[in-house]
Amino acid sequence: MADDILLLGKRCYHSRLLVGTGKYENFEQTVLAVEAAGAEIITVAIRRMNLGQNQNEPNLLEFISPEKYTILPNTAGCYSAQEAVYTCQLARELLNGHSLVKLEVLGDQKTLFPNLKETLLAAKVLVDDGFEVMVYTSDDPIVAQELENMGCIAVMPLAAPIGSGLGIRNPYNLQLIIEQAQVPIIVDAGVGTASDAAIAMELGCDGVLMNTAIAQAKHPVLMAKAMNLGVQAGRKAFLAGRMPRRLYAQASSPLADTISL
Amino acid sequence: MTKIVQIYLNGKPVEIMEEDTIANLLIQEGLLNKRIAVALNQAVISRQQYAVTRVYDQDKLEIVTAVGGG
Repeated sequence: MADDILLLGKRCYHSRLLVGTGKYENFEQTVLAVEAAGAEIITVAIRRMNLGQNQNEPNLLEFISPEKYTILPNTAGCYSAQEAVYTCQLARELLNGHSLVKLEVLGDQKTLFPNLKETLLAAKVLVDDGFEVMVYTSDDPIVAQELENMGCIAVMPLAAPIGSGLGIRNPYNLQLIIEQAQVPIIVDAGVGTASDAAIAMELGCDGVLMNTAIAQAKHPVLMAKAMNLGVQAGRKAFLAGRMPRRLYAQASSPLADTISL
Repeated sequence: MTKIVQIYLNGKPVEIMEEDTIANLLIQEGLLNKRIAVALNQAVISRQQYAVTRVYDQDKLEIVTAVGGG
């Protein structure tokens, strides 16, 4: 089979697993997990510097180098379009004009569900300003279509609340979103274990983005490897096309010439 | 004599020399040439502008970087 490439905007990727860098014990563990995941696209958050002491404290980007990986800055923690746009502008300056961003505008601290009104507003401003926007959204197919029409380069519906590990809660909506989409659909948030990642890929998602499922596993680096394999297995199964489900059994061995007493 | 003014650096009040440049402030913080981005009163300042952008009384200066996140 020809190379199975994930095309994001103008960039090509071999890995369909995108990973975050939050909640790890240290940067060394982050690097090991990223490598085990085989990820090429790595999300980071943008935050105020710790000033004063710790001037020589290492920086995440010294470990996860923008020369080696595609850095995907997020707007996590933003609750308005204005905050999200501002964060993206700072990220673009931080990363020397790199215009790929993960837009997320949250609506509520308890569920971390997206505020879709603000998300749509921010997406418009960012696309107009030349950003390549990968957008975190709900699993609503109408909103997903709207975001694609606005020019987002990838639409990233949640499978379950961020950090919940509840797995694929609504495969039917995801299927609707996938069926209509002309841009990559990446499940962002909610995956708990490798089978969840495989299910997302079997549905036809173009990729999976996760953080907590790896970072909060008992053995993060091992889980990163499991997710890597889960995504690959799910993708191959999707491409292979599963057999139809049947209510009754169908023998695998020939029915003729059976030995009888 | 140089006047001392108060600005807000990452949300905290700090005193600086009046009309000091962003470049000078970054040198004092040991942050010049680090992987950072700077905004003054919510406008992003490109690094080419650090040496010529002055900070005034009550200005809000933000210095950000990348941290772990998902």
